[in-house]
Amino acid sequence: MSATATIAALGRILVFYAVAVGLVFAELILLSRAAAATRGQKGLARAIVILTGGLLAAAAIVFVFDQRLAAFPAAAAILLSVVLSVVLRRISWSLSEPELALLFIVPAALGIFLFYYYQIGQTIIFSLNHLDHVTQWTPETFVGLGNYIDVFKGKSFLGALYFTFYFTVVAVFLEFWIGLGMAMTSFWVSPKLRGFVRSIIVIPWAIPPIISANIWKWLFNADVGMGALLKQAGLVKEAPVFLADPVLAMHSVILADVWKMSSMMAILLIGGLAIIPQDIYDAAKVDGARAFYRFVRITLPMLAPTILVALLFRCMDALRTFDLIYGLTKGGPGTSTDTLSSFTYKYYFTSAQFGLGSAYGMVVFVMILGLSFIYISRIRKNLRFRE
Amino acid sequence: MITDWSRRNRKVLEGIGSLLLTLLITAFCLSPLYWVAITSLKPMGAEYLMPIQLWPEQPTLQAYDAVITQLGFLVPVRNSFVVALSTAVLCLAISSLSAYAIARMRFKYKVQSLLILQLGAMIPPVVTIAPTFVLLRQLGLLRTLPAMIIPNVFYNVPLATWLLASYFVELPFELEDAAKVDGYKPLQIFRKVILPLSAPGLFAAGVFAFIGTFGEFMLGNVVTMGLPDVATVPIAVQNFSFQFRQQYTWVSAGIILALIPVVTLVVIFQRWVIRGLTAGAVKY
Repeated sequence: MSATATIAALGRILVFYAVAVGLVFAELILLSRAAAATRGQKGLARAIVILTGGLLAAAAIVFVFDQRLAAFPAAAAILLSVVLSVVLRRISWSLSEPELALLFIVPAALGIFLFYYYQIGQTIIFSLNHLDHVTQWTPETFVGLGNYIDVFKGKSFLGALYFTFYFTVVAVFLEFWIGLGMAMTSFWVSPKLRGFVRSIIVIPWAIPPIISANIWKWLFNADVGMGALLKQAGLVKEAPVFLADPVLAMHSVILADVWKMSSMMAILLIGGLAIIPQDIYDAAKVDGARAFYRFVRITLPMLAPTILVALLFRCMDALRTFDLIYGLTKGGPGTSTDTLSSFTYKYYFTSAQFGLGSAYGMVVFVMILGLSFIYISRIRKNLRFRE
Repeated sequence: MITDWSRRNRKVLEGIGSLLLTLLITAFCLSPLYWVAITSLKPMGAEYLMPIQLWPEQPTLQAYDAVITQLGFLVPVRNSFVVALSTAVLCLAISSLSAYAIARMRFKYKVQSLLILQLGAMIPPVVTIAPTFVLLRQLGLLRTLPAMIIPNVFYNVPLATWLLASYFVELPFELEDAAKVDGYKPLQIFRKVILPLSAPGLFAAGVFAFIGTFGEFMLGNVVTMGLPDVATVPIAVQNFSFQFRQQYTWVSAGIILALIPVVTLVVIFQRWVIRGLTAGAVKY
């Protein structure tokens, strides 16, 4: 595909998107002005405002199920609010500050709705239907919770659940300690080396996960990889076949993840260490506190909020690991390194069972949901905005 | 005298220690890459020679030549640049507006609108990849580059909004008041006062969107549907290492070529990357 064709196609989509943003924005402005004008009243106008609001909400919900059907309540809402603003004489082209803020937020919000909220609604609908026809991907037969029952009854479900949690716990634990070591080293080394060390630390983080998986796939190769190197060094008699043995394969996946994601952990912790005031350490040194004591009594408590956020962030990430598994083992040998995410993908695109795949996906989603609420409420406190 | 001697001794020891730790971290982070790099420099077949050469005896660029001329690796590199650059630009355009509104404008439900943006982003793309595929099919975008650009823009908008908001918030609020006195309109304030002052933040957010999209695999793999013309670098590397399982020199050369842009970017902008990633996670 040539660059010009790409830009032309992109331009068409952007024009379409701008029109959609304009419509949503205009409707919201008209409605909010009408609502402000009729606040506290008990007449026909107020009733129509409430009705319009209801129609808008209905349009958003119906959109998830049937996109064409949603056009009717949306059109009705637009019509009603235009009529309202004409009747109430609330037409003005100048925007107040909150209205301008709305205009700025709508482009982001509409896309987030389309690519997250609408998508998760669709996933829920998929998961309640039996969909395994390769050519026909529209909801056909409603099976209720049948897919979920199939998921929980499936032989490999418990294995995938076990590996997902084992992987998350072991990998994040190792990443935390290695990352903390790297982060503290980057402060401890002489200032000349500091920039160098940090540049080295960010490199594994920047490597695309699927490429890091392919690097490790080869390092785990028995003929020419690490195994051969170990044999050459005389440490083992027979080169271990890392990815063919279930237990070895599980730990190989963890090792590959630890290599890449310790960097991420280190980067987050460097941010937390940077804000611990140096004079606390100096005071402790004057009092004769030893290095270990300073670490336990100053560094860890001062770093605790960052540690919590970093652990939450990494756990959420590890629970949904997909690229690494796909690139390294494709779930094998057998299904020993399959996670719930890789099962989701397999059912979607290997066997085209969108219903069953969506049910697996919903399990992943629910696991992450609780963690995301804690995560969001933690990081929310760190930003202070103009109120 | 004794204290002076021991202090100097201590300094030397600390110097050696910091060098050793630096070497250890370097070895941990770079040894897999070193392994790939030396393999890419070996002539075809030499990767199987025992004992393993930890330094290629006759370094050659044969593998790079084969990957570029025979396998056409420059096509995915170009595709990746088109996708990642357009994603970064569009993402910045959209999220700088929303971040500005959230960080610096007065309106009700500010926290709620930020939460709605951020909570959505907690939904893992792997969960919703099937409906996304269906949506892109309905839009007639399968097997095109915009099919990767559009979803990636919004995959990156929440983080970019967060990051930019944390930049905008640090600029003094008197800026707007002064600009208003000078007769600037709100959009002019945003464009002529706030944006130029937050260039580093914009750049950091752009680098994130670029790196994230450059390495994005799952969505790309699904929407390209095996068509090599629209494959990006991660998809090409995955396909090479599947097709040419036996020719590690080729695969390694492909990996090294794929890594050059991202590694160069993060090493140059290391300071901003660390600051950007920790924005929000850490109080500044």
